[in-house]
Amino acid sequence: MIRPQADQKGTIAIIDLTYKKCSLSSYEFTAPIEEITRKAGYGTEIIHHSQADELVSAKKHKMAILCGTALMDNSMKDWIRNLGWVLRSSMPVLGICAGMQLICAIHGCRLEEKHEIGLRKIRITEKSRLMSQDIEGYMLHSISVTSTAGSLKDPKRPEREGIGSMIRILARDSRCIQAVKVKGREIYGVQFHPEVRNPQIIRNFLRT
Amino acid sequence: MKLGILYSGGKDSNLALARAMEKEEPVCLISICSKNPDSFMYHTPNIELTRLQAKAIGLMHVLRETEGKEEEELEDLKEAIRTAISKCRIKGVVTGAIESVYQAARVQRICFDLGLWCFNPLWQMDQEEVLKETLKKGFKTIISGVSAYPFDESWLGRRIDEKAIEELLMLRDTAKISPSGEGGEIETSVLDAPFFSKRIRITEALGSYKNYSGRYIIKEARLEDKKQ
Repeated sequence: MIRPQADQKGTIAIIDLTYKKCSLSSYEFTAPIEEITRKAGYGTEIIHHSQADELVSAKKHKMAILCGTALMDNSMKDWIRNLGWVLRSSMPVLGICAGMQLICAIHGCRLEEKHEIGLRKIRITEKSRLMSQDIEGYMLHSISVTSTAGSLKDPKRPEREGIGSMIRILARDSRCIQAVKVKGREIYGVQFHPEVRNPQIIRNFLRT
Repeated sequence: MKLGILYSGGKDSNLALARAMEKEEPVCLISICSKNPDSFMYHTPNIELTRLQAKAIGLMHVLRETEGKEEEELEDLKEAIRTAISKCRIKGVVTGAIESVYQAARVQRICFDLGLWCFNPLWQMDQEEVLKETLKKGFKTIISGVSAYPFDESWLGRRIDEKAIEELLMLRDTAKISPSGEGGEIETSVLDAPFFSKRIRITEALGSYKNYSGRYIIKEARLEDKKQ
């Protein structure tokens, strides 16, 4: 359902990655993102990932945000199947937590089981429109992006992208990659949950 | 999915329970009775009332005591959740956490260790919305504890109705308190809700108050039919 706003700046597709439509997890991972987006002056449409391929459209939606999901939710293969539009469409996309994992997976990155829960310090490796200084972010993930390239990397400089990587690393913490951008596209990913302590990051994305 | 609700008896855990009932299958309430009145993890006033609330709601109740020492409290919570797994076969836990990263992260870690789903259906919710939704859902909620300026003794035992919400919102603007008590400024107890088969009648209570800190101690209460 589209929720328009008076004088709205456009409609943002809020993609619910949780385990089923209108799930108990949607309150926790989707609703706060929608709230931040609406307070920034945008109309919103929450779309479950199972319907995203047919419902997300550049004609209706200015941008899309892929929200996170519960730690126990391992529906990655379903997300990948339902989110081919991320590659086909030219609209700006922000992936949060599981959303970032999806963006990285479809661009050839390596994901591993590595969990983080709670607040952690995040170090900027490249300034971007999302973030320009180090922050503290709230983590809630059981899978992490540990390499942005499926190809060779220099073991002496592991922080550098591998040859041919389509992903630029924007931030890290001591254990894994925390923010990325797809080269040549306005597609971003953050591993942490900005809706908890850093809503400005979402607002910065919306200004894309 | 069978779920256990971390239950203090206050408005937040009852609202979380209400949301969980709409989407999944809550089968038990899990309450921790902390001997530490200043516990960062657990809401402490009138935790014994949760026994009566569990009867009113008709769910199994797991109640465990803790000395209330920081971090040791978490082991007690983990044990209580293990009991819920064993007795009620829960696959997940629900909390009423709204903003506290301290509480939420600790429960998330326990659930992760035990292989359970963790749901926080009030997470990041606007505090005014929390208060209004409990009223809209027909909760009968009283204030069972205060611990901040400018709450005076008249707030103890007070019903959270439209007027009280209006005053709490004014205090948000003038005294910077969190209107739903997220900072521990107020604690609440729910005496009735649509999913209570009977309501709770307080027959004896004692107010204990000093220097903007006080508790409404319920000494005696009983269940009564809603038609009375």
